[in-house]
Formats: sequence, C-alpha cells, structure tokens
Amino acid sequence: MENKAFITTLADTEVAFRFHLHGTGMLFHSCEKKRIPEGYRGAFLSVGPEKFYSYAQENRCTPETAEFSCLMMEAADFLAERNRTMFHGAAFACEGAAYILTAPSGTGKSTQLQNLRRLYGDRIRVINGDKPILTLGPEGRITVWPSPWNGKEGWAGRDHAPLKGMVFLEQGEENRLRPMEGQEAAAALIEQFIYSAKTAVSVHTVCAAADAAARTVPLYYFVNRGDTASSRVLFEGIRKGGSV
Amino acid sequence: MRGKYFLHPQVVCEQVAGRYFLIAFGSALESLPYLREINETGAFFWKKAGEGYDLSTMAGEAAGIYETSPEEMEEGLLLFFDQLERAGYVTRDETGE
Repeated sequence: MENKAFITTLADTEVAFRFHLHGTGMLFHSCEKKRIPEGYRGAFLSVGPEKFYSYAQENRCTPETAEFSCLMMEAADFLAERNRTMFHGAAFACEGAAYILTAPSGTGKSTQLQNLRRLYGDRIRVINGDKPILTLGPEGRITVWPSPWNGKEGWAGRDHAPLKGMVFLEQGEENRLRPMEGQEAAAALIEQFIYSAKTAVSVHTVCAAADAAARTVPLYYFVNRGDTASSRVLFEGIRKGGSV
Repeated sequence: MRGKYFLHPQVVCEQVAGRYFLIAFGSALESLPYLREINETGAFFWKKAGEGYDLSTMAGEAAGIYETSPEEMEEGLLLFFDQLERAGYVTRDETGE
C-alpha cells in the first residue's frame, strides 16, 4: 500500500491520498506528489472498493476513473471543512487575474476556453479546466487555485490568481454578454459548488464563498453560439467589465 | 396563540447576496431538498424559532418591525410554519409549553 499513497498541496493546504488501484495514481498527473514521510500519522483521504466499483458501474467508467472521481468528492468535503471550496467551472488567468466560466456540463465551458486559448495564446493561462478550488481571504477576496480534477480535456495549470470575474454560460442563437447582479446569481452560484454537504461547517464555507463571489466579483451572463466570434465578445466584455 | 416549532437540526438558514436559503445537510438530504429559498421575513421567523421563541412572542415582536397587527402576523406565521412543517423543515412542539 505504501506506493499507493502520496501527499500533495491543494490550495495551499496539504492533503494525503491513499488509493487501491495503481492506475488511479497516474490520474493525479497534474499535481506534485510527495512520498508519505516515515511515521506519518495524519489522515488519508481514501474510498473503499465497494464504493468506487459501484460508481464505475453507474457511470460506465473504468474503476481507476471511478476511484479518482470518488477521491475528488472526498477532497472537496475535506477542503470545505478548511475554508476551501471546489467549484464547477473552467478557470483561467489573464494578466494576473482569474476568471471562471461556469455552466452545467455540456454547455460550452471547454469550447469557450479552447477558443480563448486559440485567439489570445499565452495571454490565457489555464488554471483548471473543470474543478478549480476557491479560497476566501480577508475582505471577501477569492483566490482561484488548480486541482488535479481537470475534466476530460485534462487542462491543468499550476498558477493561482485572484478572482476577477465569473461568467454563467448559456448556449443560444446570439452572442450577448450582460452583467449580473449578485442577487440574481445567488442560487446558481450555490449550486455550482462541489461537495456533499455533510456538515453545517461545510455548508457555511460554501455559502460564505458564494456570498463573497456575489458581492465582490463582477458576474456576467453570457448567451452565446460557442463560435470564435462569441469568445471575442466574451474576452472584450470581461476585460472592459460591461455589456457587449 | 401558544406553541413552538423545532427546527430540523440538519438544516441551516444562510444568506447569500441578500437572499435567504434553507440548506439541508447530512442525513436531512435524504428527505429534504438541498436548497429552498425563503424571504427575509421567513428568515427572521426561522431565526426566532431557533432561539426558542413561541409563536405569540414572535408575532408580537414581528408586528412591530413589519408594521402590521399581531393578529395578521399570527396568521402569516401559522401559514409559514405550516408549510415548513408539511415539507419536513420543522416540527410542532406538541407539549404546548
């Protein structure tokens, strides 16, 4: 079991993982893995085979992917007890600021991020393609960090950056970006956090992060066609901070 | 009007961007939805019930704040807690103390 465990740092906090399948360890390719120190007495995040085999069956995926996904939820719950939250969205940095594109799965987050990278090259630096981690600092400032769960494209970065904007995407027949009030976004924001709501502390961590995002970060609603033109509209809009 | 309501121990009321949500956690998620929005007055009542206020006291206090009569407030209170009770968010204190 010794080689099926490691310690890594997620959003500036150490997390120890233990897993059952060799292939699961390979899926953590984007994060720095450290050996478990001799005599380590801390907790490990792990899931039993019964749980991940059942997940594999339900989701028609390999047992390794299933174990990796189940560990994601364990990590999300662990982090939510420590003032850190996992969020469903594609996060990127541009000129030192982080932006998150969020939407239900299959609504074009990856397409937009791919277009932005094509159009603007190195100015767009991926933080995480699917499940970034948010930390809440003083005065409601949110920082966006990478996580090992990058989505099917495997877009992983190493940078973290202060959150400067969040965009709710919807597929449509036009390209129109408009600012959103925090009040309007509140429920949708809460729903985009990933955790199992096991404890009141974790619920409070998520709501505090959602409240901070709604109050301190420019929010946008972006109806878009998913084409290159839409990504230009998005880029110009969030950098100017207005409607397009 | 006497009586109290007990809040479900695994539901919290959280404020996000000026909106109020009842959020279920732990085993409460087996029988309640994760998220249910309530208005500001509802959040006020929820808090008071959590502090152990009975309905009469709540109605009297809220009538002053929301500029309505205690009787009208009582009606609204009963309706609110009845809805929450049917949904499983609160239970009525049957002892009548």
